Amino acid sequence: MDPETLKTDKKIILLAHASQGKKYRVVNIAGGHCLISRLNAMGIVIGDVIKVIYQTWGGPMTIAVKGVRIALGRGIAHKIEVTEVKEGDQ
Amino acid sequence: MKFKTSSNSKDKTKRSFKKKIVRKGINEIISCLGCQGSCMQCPAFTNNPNNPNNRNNPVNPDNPNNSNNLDNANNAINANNIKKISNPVRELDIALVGSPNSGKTTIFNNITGAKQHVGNYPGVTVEIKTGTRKYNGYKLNFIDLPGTYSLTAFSEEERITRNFILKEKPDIVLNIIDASNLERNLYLTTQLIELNCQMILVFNMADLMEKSGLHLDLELLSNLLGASIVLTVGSKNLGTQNIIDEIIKINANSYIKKNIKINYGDEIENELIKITKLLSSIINSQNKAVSFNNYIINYNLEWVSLKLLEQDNLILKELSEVLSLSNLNKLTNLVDGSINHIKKITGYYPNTLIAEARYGFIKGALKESAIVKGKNDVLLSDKIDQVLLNKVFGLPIFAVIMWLIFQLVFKIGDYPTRWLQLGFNKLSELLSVLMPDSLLKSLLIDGVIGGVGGVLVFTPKIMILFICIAFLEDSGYMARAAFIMDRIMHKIGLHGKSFIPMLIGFGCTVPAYMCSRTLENKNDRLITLHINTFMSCGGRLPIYILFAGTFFTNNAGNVIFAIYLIGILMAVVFAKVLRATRFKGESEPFVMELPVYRMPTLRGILIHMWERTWHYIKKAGTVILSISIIIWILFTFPRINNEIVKPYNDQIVLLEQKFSQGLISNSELDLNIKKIKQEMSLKQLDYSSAGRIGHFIEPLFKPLGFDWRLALASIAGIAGKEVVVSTLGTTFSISGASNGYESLRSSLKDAYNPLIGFNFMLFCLLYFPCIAGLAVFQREAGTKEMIFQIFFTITLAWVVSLIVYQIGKFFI
Repeated sequence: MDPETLKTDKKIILLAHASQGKKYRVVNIAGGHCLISRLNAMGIVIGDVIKVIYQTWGGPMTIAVKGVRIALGRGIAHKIEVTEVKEGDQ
Repeated sequence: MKFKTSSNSKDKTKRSFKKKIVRKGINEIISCLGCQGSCMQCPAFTNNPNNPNNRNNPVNPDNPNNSNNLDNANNAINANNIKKISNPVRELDIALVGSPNSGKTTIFNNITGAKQHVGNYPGVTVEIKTGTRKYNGYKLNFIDLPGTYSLTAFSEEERITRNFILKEKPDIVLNIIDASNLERNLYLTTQLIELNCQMILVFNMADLMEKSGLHLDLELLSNLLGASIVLTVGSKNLGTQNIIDEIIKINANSYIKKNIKINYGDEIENELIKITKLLSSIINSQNKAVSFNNYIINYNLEWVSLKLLEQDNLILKELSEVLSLSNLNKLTNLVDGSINHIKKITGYYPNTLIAEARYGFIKGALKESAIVKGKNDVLLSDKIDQVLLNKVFGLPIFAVIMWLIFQLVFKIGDYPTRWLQLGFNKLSELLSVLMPDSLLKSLLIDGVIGGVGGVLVFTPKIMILFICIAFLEDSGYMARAAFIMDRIMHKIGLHGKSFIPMLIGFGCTVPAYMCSRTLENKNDRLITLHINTFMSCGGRLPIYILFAGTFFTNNAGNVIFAIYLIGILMAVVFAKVLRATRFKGESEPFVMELPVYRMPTLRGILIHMWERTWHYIKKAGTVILSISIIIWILFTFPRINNEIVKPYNDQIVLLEQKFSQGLISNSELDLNIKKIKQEMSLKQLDYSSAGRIGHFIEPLFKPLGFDWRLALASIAGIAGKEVVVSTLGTTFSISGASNGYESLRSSLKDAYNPLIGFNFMLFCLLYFPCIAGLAVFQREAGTKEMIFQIFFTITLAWVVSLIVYQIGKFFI
C-alpha cells in the first residue's frame, strides 16, 4: 500500500463528518502511538475500509471493521481521516 | 515440557510463588503490577537462561526439528492417542488468554467448574481467577487472565496479562478465540506467536462459525499459526474435553513447538536486526559487570526489539531498570533513528506497519486455509441497534428498562420477601415460647434473628436485581448503555465507558471499583471511582425498601427510583466538580467494541446471579452476624440496676393489686403493664453503651432530623449498609417496641415522619458504601484518595441531608 495513492485523488474528510451507511478508507490517524496501537488492536488500521453503521452527529458513532462493531467517541472520530470508497472501488 | 517433580531448585521457587498467587490472589498481582518489573530481586522472577528446560531462551529461529513439528501439529487435530502417564502427578499451569467477549470465562467455568462470572461486555475479568482440574495423573492449574485485545500494555488488563505470560511463564497458553470473528480475534494470537508461547488455539463459538458458512482447513491453519486448534461451543459446553486432551497430548508427546515468524516487511525487518544486535551486545557487555536476572533480558530479544519499535513505553521502562544509562541512551538513539528512518521511507510509523503486517499475516493464513468462505451476518444486531442506540429513543428506552427492573424487583420480589418474613417471625415466636427469659434468648431473638434475619429477608429482591444486571451484561446491552450514555458522560468530562462500572455499582460497589480498571486514563479512573459511591448498591437497597415501604407505601417503587436518580445526579455533578478542581485534563478517547447481541444462557445468568447472591448471604452469615452480636452487646450492657427497676416493678405490683381488687379490667391491666415495660426497656436502652454512644453523637445528627437510633444505625452502616437495617431491627426489638419486620415498620412509622425517612435514605445513599469497598478503593486509588473519599462523602451526606431537612421542615 503506497501512502501517496491513498491520499491523492479523493477528498479527505474526518470520520466525524462521514455519512451513515457509506464506506470509507482510513488514510491517517492523527494521534499518538498509544491511540494508534489501541485502534490497531480493535481492528482499525490505516488503509482499512470501514463502514459507518450509525452516525449520531454530535454523539458517539458506530462503525464496522473486520466484521465487528466498534463505538467511537466524538473526539476520536475527529482524529481519523478518511476518504470515501464507492461500492466496487476496492 | 517441564516435569514439576524435577529437583530443579529454580523451578521450585517459581512453583511456590505461583501457589502464593493462587492463595493471595489479586493482592499479589496488584503488588507485582505496582513495581512493573522492578521486582527482579524477587526470586520468583529469576530464571536461568542456561536452563535446558526453559523454552523461552532467546529463540533459535531455525529449528532443526521443524519437519517433525509439522507432524505434531497435524496430530494435534485428529489423533486421539493420549499416552497413559504412570509418573507421579505432574503440575501444569495453563493461562487463558483472549479478547473480551470471546467466551473465555465460559470456557474457564466449563473446564474447572468454578462459579465465576461471564459477561458480554469488555472488562469483566478484572482479577485473576484460578481453578484446578485433576486429570489422568495431571494437576492442571487454570488461570483466567483478563480479556485484552492486544499485549501492548496500555491498559491495566493488558499489563496484567502481558506480565503474567512474561514473568510466570505458564506451561501452556490457551488462546480463546471467537470463531465467528477470526480476523480481529487472531490479532492477539499474532502477538502470542511473537512471544513464542506454547499455545493451544480454542476456536470458541464454533457453531456460529459453521452457521456463517465458513469452512476452514483446520490442519493447514494450525500449521500456519504454529499451534493446535480445538473447536468448542462454550455456551453448550461442547469440546471442553478436547481442550484437556490436547493439553495432555502436548505434554506427553514431548511436543516441540514450531516457531512461526511473521514477516513485517523489509524496512521493519532491517531495523529489527540492527536493534537486536545492539541489544545483545549491550547485554553481553553488561552481563560481565552485573549479573542480572531480569525476565525481559532473558526473553526473546527479537521480541524486545519489536516492542521498542512499536514504542511500547513499558518495555522501555523495564529496560531502563537494568541497563546502564549510557547503554540505554545508545539504544534509544538507535530506536529513534530507526523509527524516523521507517517513517521517512514508508510514510508511516512502525506501529502502523507492524499492525498491518499482523493483520496481513492473519488474512493470508485465513485465505489459504478457507475451503468455503463465510459470510458474517450481523444484520439483525445492526437492526436492533438502529432502535436501541437511536438518538431520540435510545435514552428513553434505557430509562424504561431501568424502571422496569425496579418494578420487577419490588413487585415480584415482594412475595418471597414476605414469606421469609413470616418464617423469621414464626421462628422468633417459637423461640420466645420455648425458651425461658434469659440473656441467651434475648441474644437469639433480638440479636441474631432481629439482625441477620432482617438482612436475609431481602435476599429474593437482591437475587432479582442481580439476575437483571446479569441479563444486561450477558446480552450485550451493557455496552450499548455505555454508548447511549456517552453523550451525557461527555458533558461531564467522562465518556461512556465510565458508565459501565457505575451500572455494576447498582449491584455491588466492590466489583464496580475493580471494573473501573478498564479505563486507561488515571484521572478518568479516579473520578469514576469517586463518583461510584453514589450508585446505590445492593446493600443499600434494604434500607430503601424498609423506609420507602414504611413511609411511601403506595409509591415505594417510585420513591426508590427517585433515590437512584438522585444518586446518578450526584455522580454527574461531582464528576464535573472533580474534573474542574482535582483531576484536570482531557478524558481518554472512547473506543469500545459493541458485541453482537446474544441470548444469554440461563446457566450463565444463574451462575452469575448465584455468585453475587451467595456473597450477600455469606456476608449476612459472617460480617453482619458478628456486628449484630456486637450491637446487641452494646445495647444490652451495662444493665440497669435494681434501683432504677424498682419503681417500675412497684408500679406493676400496684396495678396487679388494683386488678385483684376489681378496680381495673383485665385489658386495662395488660395495656398498662405493657406501657410500663416499654418505658423500662427505653430506660435500659438509654442506660446501655449503645444508648450512651447514640446520645453522645445525637447532637451531630439532630439538625438532620435523626434521633440517636438513626445516628447509631448510620455509624454502624460504615461496616456495610446492610447493617443499618439490622441495627434498627435490634434497637426496636430490644426496646420491646417491635418484634419482626412488620412491627419494625410500624414502630418506625410511629417514631419518624416521611421527611425523616426520605432524608435518612438520602444520607445512606451519599456516604461511602462499606469497609470492604474502602479497602478495594484504597487498592485501586491509593490511601490518599481513600481518605479523600471518606471525608468527601461523609461531608456531602451531612450537608445535603441538613439542607433537605431544614427546608423540608417548612412544608410538613
